[in-house]
Amino acid sequence: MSKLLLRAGLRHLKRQPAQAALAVLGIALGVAVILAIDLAVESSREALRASVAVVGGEATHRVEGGAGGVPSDLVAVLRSTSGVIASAPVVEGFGGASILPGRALRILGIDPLSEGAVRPWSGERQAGLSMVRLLSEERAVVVGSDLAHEVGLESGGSLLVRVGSGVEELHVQGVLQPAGGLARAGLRDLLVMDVSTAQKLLGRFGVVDRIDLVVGGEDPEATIARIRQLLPDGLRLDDAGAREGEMEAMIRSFDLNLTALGLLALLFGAFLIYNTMTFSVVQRRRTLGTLRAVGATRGEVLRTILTEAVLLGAVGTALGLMLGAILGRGLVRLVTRTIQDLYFVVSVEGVVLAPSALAKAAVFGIVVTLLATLPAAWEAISSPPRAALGRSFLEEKARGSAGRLARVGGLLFVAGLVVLLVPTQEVAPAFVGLFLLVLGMAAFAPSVLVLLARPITWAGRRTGGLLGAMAARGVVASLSRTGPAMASLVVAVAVTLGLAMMVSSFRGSVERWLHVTLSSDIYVSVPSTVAARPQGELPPEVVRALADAPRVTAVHLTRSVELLAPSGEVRVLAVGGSSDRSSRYDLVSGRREAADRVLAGGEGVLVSEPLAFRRDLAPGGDLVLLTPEGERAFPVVGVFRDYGSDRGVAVLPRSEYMRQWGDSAVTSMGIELEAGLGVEEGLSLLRGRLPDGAGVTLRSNLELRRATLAVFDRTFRITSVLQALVFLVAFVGVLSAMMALQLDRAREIGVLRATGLTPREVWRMVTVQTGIMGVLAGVLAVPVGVMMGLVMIYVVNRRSFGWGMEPALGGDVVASGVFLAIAGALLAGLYPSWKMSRTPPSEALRDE
Amino acid sequence: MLDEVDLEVRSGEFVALVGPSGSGKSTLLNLVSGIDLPDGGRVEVGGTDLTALSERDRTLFRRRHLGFVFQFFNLVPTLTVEENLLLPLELKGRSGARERERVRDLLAVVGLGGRGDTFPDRLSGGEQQRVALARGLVHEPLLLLADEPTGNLDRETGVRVLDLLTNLLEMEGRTLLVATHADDVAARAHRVLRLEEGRLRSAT
Repeated sequence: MSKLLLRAGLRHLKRQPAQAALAVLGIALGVAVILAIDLAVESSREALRASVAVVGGEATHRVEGGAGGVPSDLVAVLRSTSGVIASAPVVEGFGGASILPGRALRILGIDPLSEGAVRPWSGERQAGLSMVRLLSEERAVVVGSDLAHEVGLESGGSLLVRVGSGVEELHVQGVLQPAGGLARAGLRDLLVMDVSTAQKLLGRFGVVDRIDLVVGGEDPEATIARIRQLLPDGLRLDDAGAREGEMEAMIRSFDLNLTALGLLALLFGAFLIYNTMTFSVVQRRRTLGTLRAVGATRGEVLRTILTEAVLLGAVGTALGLMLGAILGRGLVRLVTRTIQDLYFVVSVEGVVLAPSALAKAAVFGIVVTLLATLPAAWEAISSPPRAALGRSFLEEKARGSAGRLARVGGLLFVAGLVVLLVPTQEVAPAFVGLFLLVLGMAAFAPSVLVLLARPITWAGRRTGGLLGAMAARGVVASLSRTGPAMASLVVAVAVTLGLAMMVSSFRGSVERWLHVTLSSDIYVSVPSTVAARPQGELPPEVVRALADAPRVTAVHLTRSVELLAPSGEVRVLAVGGSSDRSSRYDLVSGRREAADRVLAGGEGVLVSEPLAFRRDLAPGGDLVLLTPEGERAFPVVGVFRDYGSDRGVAVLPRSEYMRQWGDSAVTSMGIELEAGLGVEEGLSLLRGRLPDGAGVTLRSNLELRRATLAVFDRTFRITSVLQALVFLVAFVGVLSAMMALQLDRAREIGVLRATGLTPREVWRMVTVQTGIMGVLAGVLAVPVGVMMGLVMIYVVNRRSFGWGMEPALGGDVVASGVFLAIAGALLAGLYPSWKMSRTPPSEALRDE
Repeated sequence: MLDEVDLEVRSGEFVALVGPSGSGKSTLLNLVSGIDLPDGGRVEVGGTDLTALSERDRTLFRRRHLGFVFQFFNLVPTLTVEENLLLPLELKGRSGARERERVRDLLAVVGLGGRGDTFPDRLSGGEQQRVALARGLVHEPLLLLADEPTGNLDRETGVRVLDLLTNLLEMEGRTLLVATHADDVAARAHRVLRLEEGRLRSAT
């Protein structure tokens, strides 16, 4: 490639620093959002893997027993089975420490004598101390070096740990100094203790949560078959890797939702690049014509334009990587918090700057830049080698292509609909369909401008006279600039509107659900550090004392457990009480009388929408659970709306659960008070009935509702942050388009100024123009946004989380969308209009 | 636009095309340069039939054997004066010290010896057209095509540019086909051809 051609191209960019800077900023923001999301997601997954690796160790299989646990004496049986290289019992749970408020600590009870082959980090050489010390004292614990350092713990010290309703003092017997980074990360929030200590702490007498096995030998399959034969009913042998896969699958939809937003940001970044490069070509059309006339080939011109783009892309990408790393640090906290709220405990120390994530973002940045440049490059090489190519020619071409674009838009729209209608549970096609729909509708924006040219001009003339008509005509006359800018604004506002509609529909549905579900006045539970998992048991004396309290008219008891099913764990709520009715469940299918019969102790289960969706259940079908007597099918009598968990829950009558699993524990209880008794009064009455040091939490209906909505709002905070970033990129896009327009029209403005237009009049004209674009974009964005909202409600959310909800579109959401479009366009037009009004006529009228 | 045009220009000849606006002067220049192709017939330059070449080959032919001078100068605004002259040479694959020397010599001939590092927007119209003349001739083309080379200059500057053009042509021994409205340009040509409604007539 000619060096001079490249130099000429680069100098052109240098002469338009604002345009170049906006393009760089656009691509940087796009890359930054992609990278930040990737880093946050990858860091939380890495932490999950570290935790699984540390807790699971080298185990190839695990024996689990669900809520009932695994009998401790099975360890010895399994150990003597041929082909089992190692077997280690594990008791696992969560607790909290007062010195680490809000943080969940994982309690890991192990047998120090049988650990070595399962969890290598616990070996003396790796850990830096002998785990046998755990046996030397009661309530002995060892902690990882990071945790010890964080809270100033050392060997010989003590740590107050709260588990369920009790607080225990644990004695630190040593600090683990693991050699590997993964082990260090996995140990960060871990309290390692002897099985018996953990059993006492977690109230799991005589049972362990699982037995980790290392299966080897000549015929592992035969060993596995032998183990299966040995297992009593109600226990299951699983592949150890399956657990990690299950956990990763849980957050896959959540990750995908974030990634989709990241891609959207990059799409707007691409628009900026498209805009800058197209403008840069359009502005140089005469020069390019000259170059072609003096003998530069199409290939040479193409390479020059693409090299310019690669350089812009490289600078933008480099900046984006730096920005992304910073943004990632902020996002990782939001992501981790949400995962913790919704799924499981994961502790992320910091952002892992994974080379793969950096490389992916960098490739994205450069490839998108090149793709966005292609239309401009095409225009550059198809410019005839002539000196003068009128702008009117270009605008005519733009008007001609508006029709073609609309036809392409129609095709994209139809393709999007087809993709959305394909029956599948996968989320990715839903996003592809949504992108196609939105792009398809955005492609109509230039045509709408052409169609509305006359009415807009008429309105402009009526309201602003000749200047108003000129402003209005300018929007259509400069279609090559205003078309893409408007399309970008339409998409940005539609995304904002669609997301707002989805979130407000979701919130409204959650509020309605809370209203139906939370019908008791007061709720009692064990304080929990983990929102996502049912935890702890209410002491029986507390349940009795509160149920027998005066002025209590009804109690509802709930046992929340994870039960084993042939296809993974199922969260089950065993409910029972003095007045359980199906009115506490918002049934979406099934008959209410049948549901009432189940809740009164009849046969069957109610399943929540996500569970029904994930396991393809409906009234008439069966939910199979593993009981201590073996597999049992429970007929599904109804599906109810539930936003408590996206994995879903099944509701069983408590009497049936106690009969099958022999567990009479209570996880939480709801209390109804006598009419006329205030909640505050009721709370103090009930607190007075509690035995000393009961360590349970009593919350009013209102408090619980607020706490639930707080989790909801926290979950969507990350959406708001990304939404704001998407809008920012789109805003920069409109700003860049307006500046391009300003440079394009410098001569026209110069003529107007020379004819006698004051700077103020010029400013007003340009502002009216951007205002018209804003109004049109806002009006167009409403149907696009509503359509997006509906797709997110009926397709994306359903496939991601299994939740159904009532779509709600408030006037305030629509009004704020339109307002956002107008305000965005006006703001983006402020600087360019000011610049245009300041243009000295003499300068604008210079030919060269 | 053009109808049955039959034109032959000999090497070293200075031919002026005159005629009213819209008569087809620029179209004829575009055909001769290979920018456009005729509906029928042949365009041969230095023994090469341009109508038989692909678009790419015509472009390569243009870069090697043709020079251009436009009414609106059309210098590349982001290249300096010297770089604008170097561009046709570099496109021809020649960008060594000898070429730089030739550029400097040619700039000295057109009276812009000290302005090599200047960008075009710092020059007056006459100066820009002098750079354009030098650029048209720097790579020693078989044929120089000029479209209204003095059309955008005042009379006095136009005369100076014209003097320069004829001197350069003589000095370099080049062939010139110029489209013009200006009588003083036509007056210096060896032969003047008149285009009227797409038909070519010999005027002198």
